[in-house]
Amino acid sequence: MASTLRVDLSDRAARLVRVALLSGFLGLAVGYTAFTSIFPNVTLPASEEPSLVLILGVLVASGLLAGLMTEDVRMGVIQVFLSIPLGLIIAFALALSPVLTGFLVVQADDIFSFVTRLGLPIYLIALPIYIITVLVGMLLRERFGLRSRSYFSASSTERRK
Amino acid sequence: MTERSNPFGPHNRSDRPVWLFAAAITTVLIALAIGSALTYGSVVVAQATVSISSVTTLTLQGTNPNGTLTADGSFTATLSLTVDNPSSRVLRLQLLAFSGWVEDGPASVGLNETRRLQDDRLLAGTGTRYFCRVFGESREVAGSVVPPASAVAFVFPYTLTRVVNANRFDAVRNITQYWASTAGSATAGTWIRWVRVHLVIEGVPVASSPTAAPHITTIGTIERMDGVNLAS
Repeated sequence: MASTLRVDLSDRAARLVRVALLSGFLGLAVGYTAFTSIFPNVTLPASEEPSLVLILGVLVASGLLAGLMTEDVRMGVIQVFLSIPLGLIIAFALALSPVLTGFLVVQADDIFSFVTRLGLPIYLIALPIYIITVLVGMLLRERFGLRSRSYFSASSTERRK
Repeated sequence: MTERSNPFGPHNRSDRPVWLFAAAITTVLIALAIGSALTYGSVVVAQATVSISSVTTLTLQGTNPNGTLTADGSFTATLSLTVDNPSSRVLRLQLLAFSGWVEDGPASVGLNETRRLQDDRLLAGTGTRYFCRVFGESREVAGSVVPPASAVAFVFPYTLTRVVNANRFDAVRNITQYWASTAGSATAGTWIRWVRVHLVIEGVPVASSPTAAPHITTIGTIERMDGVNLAS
């Protein structure tokens, strides 16, 4: 009973860690693309205007990758929804980064509203792109029979019983 | 993909390679984000720290014994512009606007009503002072580069002769004659200058589209002014 509870808790913790990691991964992609769409000429790679190819490429690729690592739809949806505020925080942190040099002439709340307002198209398109690509990634995961380490260890345990 | 021993069928594989690939992509994204933050930070530092200072030296060539201009003389204002760039970015001088005024003594005392109406005015505590605009030029400057963490001085001469602008030259002659007779020096009248400089931050692509957001079009340029603009 106690060992079943312990296994259940560790399994739950592993799932939470997985969701946190994948949300962070998706959030990083959203934050980077939002920042590069706001300041396309001072980011890497620099361009005159926001590159739709770069933005869509990063979002689609990260969504597919996250889907390949996602075990169930519920967790997939949770991590997609978590990634948007995380992306906003990352874009805000990047916009606020000059404060480290001691030269920030604009108020932090102005930067936050700037990043929220100008990055809004990215946050809005990221959501459906992520939902679709994560689902596609999960289908590919099933197609290729990808399984996590915990799956194999759980299977071995069940086999031992 | 790695094939693992698996009791439920031969098709189940570990997703570990996908995680490793995602870790590599994450590293690339973090590197791009940090690189972007550094680039953006350096531009913000350049925007905040670059400063200019200017000095003009007035020279009268072709003068009478009392120092006043002759009809075939010339009036030259030599602008020494220093751009101080403490940032890590290379700057390029793009546009230079320069205006110079000399205090119009004859107009101030009512000897020249026409110029008095045309002159630019400076409201002083005791009344209005009248200034005749000698120079008012804007030009593109090519090839003037300010390296990072350095201050560079540029010299731009502006010359007025009768050939260049007869009306303006005659006004300056008249003013120098007035100051020579009343103050003992042809250049005794107060000289006011105004300089506006556009600097381009190298490595920041300039948005060419008319629909580009204003902050994208302006973030790559630095505008600095020095002096008093009497024309505004």
